[in-house]
Amino acid sequence: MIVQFVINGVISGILYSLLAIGFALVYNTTKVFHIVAAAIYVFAAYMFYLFTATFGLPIIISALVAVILTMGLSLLTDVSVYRPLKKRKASNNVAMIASIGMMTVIINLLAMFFGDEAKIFDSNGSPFLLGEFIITAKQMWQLVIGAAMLILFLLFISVSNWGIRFRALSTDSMLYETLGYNNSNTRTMVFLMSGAFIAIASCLTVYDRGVDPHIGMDVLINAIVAMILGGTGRFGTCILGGISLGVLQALAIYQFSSNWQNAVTFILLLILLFLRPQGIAGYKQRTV
Amino acid sequence: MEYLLHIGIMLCIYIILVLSTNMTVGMANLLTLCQAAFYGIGAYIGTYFLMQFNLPFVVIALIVMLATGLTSIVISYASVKLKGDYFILGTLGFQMIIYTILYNWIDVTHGPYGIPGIPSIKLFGVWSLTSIYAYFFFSVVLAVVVALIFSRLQHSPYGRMLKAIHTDELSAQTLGRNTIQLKSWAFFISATFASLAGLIYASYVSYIDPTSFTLDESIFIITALFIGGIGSRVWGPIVGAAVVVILPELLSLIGLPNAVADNLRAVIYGIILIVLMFYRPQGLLGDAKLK
Amino acid sequence: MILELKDIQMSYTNARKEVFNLLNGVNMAVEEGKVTALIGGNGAGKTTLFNIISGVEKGFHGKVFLEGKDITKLPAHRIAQMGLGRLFQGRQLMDDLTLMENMKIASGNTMGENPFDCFFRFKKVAASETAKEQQAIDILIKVFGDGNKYLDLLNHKASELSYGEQRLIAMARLLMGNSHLLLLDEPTSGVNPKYIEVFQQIIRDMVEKEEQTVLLIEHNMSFVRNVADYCHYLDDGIIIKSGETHEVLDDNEVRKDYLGL
Repeated sequence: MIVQFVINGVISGILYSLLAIGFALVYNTTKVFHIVAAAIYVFAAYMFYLFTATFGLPIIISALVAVILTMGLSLLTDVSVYRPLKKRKASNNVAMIASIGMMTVIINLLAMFFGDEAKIFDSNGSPFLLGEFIITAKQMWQLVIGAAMLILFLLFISVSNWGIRFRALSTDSMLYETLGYNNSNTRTMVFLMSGAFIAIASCLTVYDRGVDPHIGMDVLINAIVAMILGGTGRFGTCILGGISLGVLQALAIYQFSSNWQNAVTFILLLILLFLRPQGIAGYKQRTV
Repeated sequence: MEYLLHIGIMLCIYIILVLSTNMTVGMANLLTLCQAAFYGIGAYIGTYFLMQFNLPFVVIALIVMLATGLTSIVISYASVKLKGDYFILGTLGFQMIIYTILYNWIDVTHGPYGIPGIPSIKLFGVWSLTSIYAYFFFSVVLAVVVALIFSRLQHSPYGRMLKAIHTDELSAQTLGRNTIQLKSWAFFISATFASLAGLIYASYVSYIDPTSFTLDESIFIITALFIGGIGSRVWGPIVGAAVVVILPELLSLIGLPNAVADNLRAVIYGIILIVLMFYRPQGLLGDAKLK
Repeated sequence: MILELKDIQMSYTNARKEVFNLLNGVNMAVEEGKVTALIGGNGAGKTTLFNIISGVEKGFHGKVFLEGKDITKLPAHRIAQMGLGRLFQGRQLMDDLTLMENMKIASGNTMGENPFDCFFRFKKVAASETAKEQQAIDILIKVFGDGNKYLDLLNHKASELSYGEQRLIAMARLLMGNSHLLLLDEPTSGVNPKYIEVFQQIIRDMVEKEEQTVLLIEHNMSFVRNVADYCHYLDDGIIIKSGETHEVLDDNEVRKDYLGL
């Protein structure tokens, strides 16, 4: 019985990992607390819904369109707000407030356009049976695509040129620039990839759970806690943190009830803040 | 006329809220996203005492403020020690925890059903504030007193030291100041006065539920603060509160349907916030810089 | 000895998991009432040593004793309260505060620096504010002479002063507190050469007239020769040579390694 919960936990953990990667890509490289990611998440969900339910496109095409549009939105947040602010030597906190502003604008525009009620996707496909454990069709999508994206990402970040550049930029941005790498090309790649991962996480999740304007912040906080849990300052650790968080939440649901699922996240957050801010495998941060 | 008095009362409540937020954000450079949580804690604890006991306002206020201040210590000690982003995350997490508790602990808070029939404040245990005129007068007096308190704090040696910590915390430490404790005090005071606003709100509106104390509300309060201006002048927060309380009323005069009006208002605030960060990050009347 | 460092070791690991041994067992003693210079090449670890002494850096092995007391584990503000003053490289006064406010925040008297004093003890606060103002004026007169221009700039923002002036005043305000030992990190670096003699005079006055001990980091050797009684040469993570200034600066090894002569 508990194994069923753990399976569910791993799958939802994969979704957290994807969103955590989307956030970490921006946060580690630019050091801006990318709160607008919550709005980007919601945007992807609504685009997915729009093209599926309203325009009637097949699911895969819809998702692809949603991902591409979201990548565009993600890049837009950098080009129109973050980069100009950086040029004006604005501090990271100022960028964060601007990020909050962007989030407010995007989410409320979406709410104005689509309305406040939840929208759901039709269910189709019969569940898969793994011995005595059930994986629904939608969960199967999440598992397969999610895991594939995570593995691709791990390869990317460790081996590819861009991956190495992302890691270099996260470690020392000033050195990165003086070594002659084009910061703005790298930023463009960062934001495009971030948008892609956020969109994939979003589409896979809302396909199962539906979308309303307020889902963004809650799931983003979970993803951020997952990122910290896995280890700060690194990318691959998002996967460790995401899956761990998913499993811990599943165990909490098994033991108590689903109401307290978020309590796990917040208690973990407090523990991390108090005792181990660098997470399981992260780089230690200087205080003050 | 009553409509105007209502606006006035809400304005006073928000002035207190925004002034309290300025303490952490403007003076101590601690970006908090949990003011609504303290606002809510104040409202709920205040409701409990208002409904169970027949105490004078001053006593209830002190209890509420102290209790809320104590909850702030829970998170401030850890968060204040850590680098800026962790502090924000800590406040974010705290905000969500409090909301989850308010929403799910139905036995105590009635969750989404809310608590109706909250009695009015009794001044000196005898005079119950029943009319809206009385509430108006009372809240104006309170707002003025709170503004004077914050003004005094800002120009005191404590305020000066907060400014120093804001500018260069390391130097302040090597000058012998326990900066962590000083910042924790700022957080404590901020929580305390936010809870006072919650108490007034609960007894005035006489019905509360968790939807008034969400992260959106915290963001709303921060927006008001940045519009008005952060730093060592009380006029920044006052103007900010005025803008966010009065603007929606002006919008509704144009005759927009309510649901859309809320969203449109939020979009406007978001745009204002972004533009401010570009051209005037300290806000209209602010004199401090975000670090 | 007012300050003793016993076997200080510190290494750090960078993101590529490479280990660098910065300090390899530093032993150093600073004599009270004198000016001591700490010299060595760039990146030798001098500022790190200052960070260790003042409690800002905690990731090290070894012990630090201030006036005989073990301060190894104490937080920075406690060490400052015990009598250690510090001048940082690259930071001086707080820009947004006025000159007088900058002086007051260095005072050893923290009356009023909590949120309750200004309401419940306002008389005492007022009195201590006046005392601090007087102390600040006295120090400025002592250091810069009667009728100096800074007395008229007390209510002006510190950002209006030049870099060199800010450094001078940052040094002077260390006298506002209860400091006995002053750590000065490259006091003359980036300062207009016309001020260097002023620095020399102030530092000697602090030691001879104000009962301070000074430990400074410097790269300007003629400054060191003029102002320092003793000298410690840090290289390869240990103190290779220490003694009276002229001994150290005339030593063949030091001259070859550090001065390139």
